[in-house]
Amino acid sequence: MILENVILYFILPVLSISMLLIFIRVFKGPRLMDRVVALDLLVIVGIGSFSAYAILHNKEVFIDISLILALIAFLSTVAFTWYYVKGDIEKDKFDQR
Amino acid sequence: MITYFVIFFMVIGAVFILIASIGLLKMPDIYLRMSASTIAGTFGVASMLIAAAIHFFDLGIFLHVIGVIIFLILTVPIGAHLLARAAYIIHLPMWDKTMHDDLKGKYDNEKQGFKPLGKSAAKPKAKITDKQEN
Repeated sequence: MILENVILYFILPVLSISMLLIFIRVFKGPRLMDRVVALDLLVIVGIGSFSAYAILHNKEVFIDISLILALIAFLSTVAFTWYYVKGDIEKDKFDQR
Repeated sequence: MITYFVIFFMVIGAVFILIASIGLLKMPDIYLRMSASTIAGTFGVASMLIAAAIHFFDLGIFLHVIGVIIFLILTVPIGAHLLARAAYIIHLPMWDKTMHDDLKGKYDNEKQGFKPLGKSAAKPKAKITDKQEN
């Protein structure tokens, strides 16, 4: 009972506040690279919230998602940097708003 | 008793993730932002996964959590290094108060590799020896 209260009233609000701060950086970030770093951190916060939900609902299935989510985050970062260095992404379109 | 260990690790993980997001928002430069977000975020997520492993107390879940943590420790620094390399190649501006840049003048953008050390490294040595002889 203590565990459910701690997760509901401390852990999940802290995680949602941090998601809100990351979204502020995503919308504010002056360049495209800042947004990619912010989205990379957002996936990590998502893995943490999945583990919190797994404890809250007492189901182990939520932990299986975290490995796939980490894999997708790494692959998307590698693909983005590959095409960004090669010059296929239009830089002026996303850089300054 | 197990409940208090779970609460301890969960609180540590959540606070570290909050520190990472504050650092991402408040740091002045992309390289500093990347440093703050990757280190604190990886440690926070590892702590929260350890809390889940302690709560379920099962061998399969434990091995799964260990696999996820090792995968995160291996891949998050590689991704941050790739992003920093791309940002340096594109010439994203650094912070004004950055003290020194070790790669300045040593990196060839067209070949995407280090310049040969012959010309760039020989000149300052010659100047120093001249001053010492005089």
